[in-house]
Amino acid sequence: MPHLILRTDNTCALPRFEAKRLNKTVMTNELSSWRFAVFSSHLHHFIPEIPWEEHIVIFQKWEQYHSPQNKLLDLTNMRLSNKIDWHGLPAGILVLFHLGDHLFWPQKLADEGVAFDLVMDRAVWEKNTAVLTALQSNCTVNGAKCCYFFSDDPMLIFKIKSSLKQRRHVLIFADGTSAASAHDKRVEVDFFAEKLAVKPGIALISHLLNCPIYALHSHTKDDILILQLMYISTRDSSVSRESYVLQTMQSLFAGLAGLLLRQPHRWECWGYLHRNGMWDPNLLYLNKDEKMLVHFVKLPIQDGWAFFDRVNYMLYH
Amino acid sequence: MKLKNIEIRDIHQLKGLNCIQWTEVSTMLSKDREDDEMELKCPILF
Repeated sequence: MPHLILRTDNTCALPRFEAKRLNKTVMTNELSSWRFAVFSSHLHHFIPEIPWEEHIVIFQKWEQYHSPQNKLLDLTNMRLSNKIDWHGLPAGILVLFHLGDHLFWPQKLADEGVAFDLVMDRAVWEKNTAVLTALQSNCTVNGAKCCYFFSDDPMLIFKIKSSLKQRRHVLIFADGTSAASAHDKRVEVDFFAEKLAVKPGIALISHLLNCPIYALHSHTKDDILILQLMYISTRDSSVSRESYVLQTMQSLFAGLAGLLLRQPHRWECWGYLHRNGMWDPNLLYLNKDEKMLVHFVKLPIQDGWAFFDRVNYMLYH
Repeated sequence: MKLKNIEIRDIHQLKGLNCIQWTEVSTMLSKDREDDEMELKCPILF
């Protein structure tokens, strides 16, 4: 049993050598998890500049940041930027990304009197009805509850049009693709060293209804998370719909990439990019000759051990 | 050939092993939803 050191702030700490030993155990366990293997593969393909040895550090930070125990994520520590006239923005599409704080901002926006309705995939609603119902009752502005619209609703465009007419924004998660579907229409945008297949609905709606898109990102200042308006996109009549859609989606994800370059751990999607249709490792050019031991992660499988090649997404056993 | 709890110290050890392509790996992973989306794990909100 290791001795504990009592700190002046009444928290306990393990002696350094013990902590180092335990961390090594935790790290070894994590290195042998599929969760890490897939995270690391995706991270490598998009940002190959990050050295392999840093992956485990980013992974641990990512797991900690996105865990419900993360005390940094708290409504009392969140503010809307005071440089923006939030109530003066013409009704449009508010865009958020899955950056860990994404479920807090809807409530914060509503608390500050910004009215909006929210578009989501039906699968997300079906899987998380209780949480989303609670969120909905918290997002009430001037007595009007936030409405939920489903992305597969044939009447979606009319519902959004009606919201905008009532001067309510529509909030959409740009990277919120809960599942890949054969019916999904995607556009490919540059994203770091690779391409992401993203749903073009945000830009398409903006073009059809001639409404602005507001890309929102948060950053931390003095332990306070501040929501900023990073980018506004409006329809340009001299540009075709296809070009506008591609340019807009490209700009939205370029903004996301800029943020992730500094804080890669903030993007929740690293763990499941291969599931939501954004990234298909099968389309990789496989470099079968490149086999460096550092790429391999040893993983437990049903009948023993296997080695996963994080460059070529192949498993050897 | 099956691996026991051994380390790969030389790349040539991979020769003779079964190689599973990503399609199959992905199917295998989808059966284990443990590492599925972290989305909506925000009980501190409510």
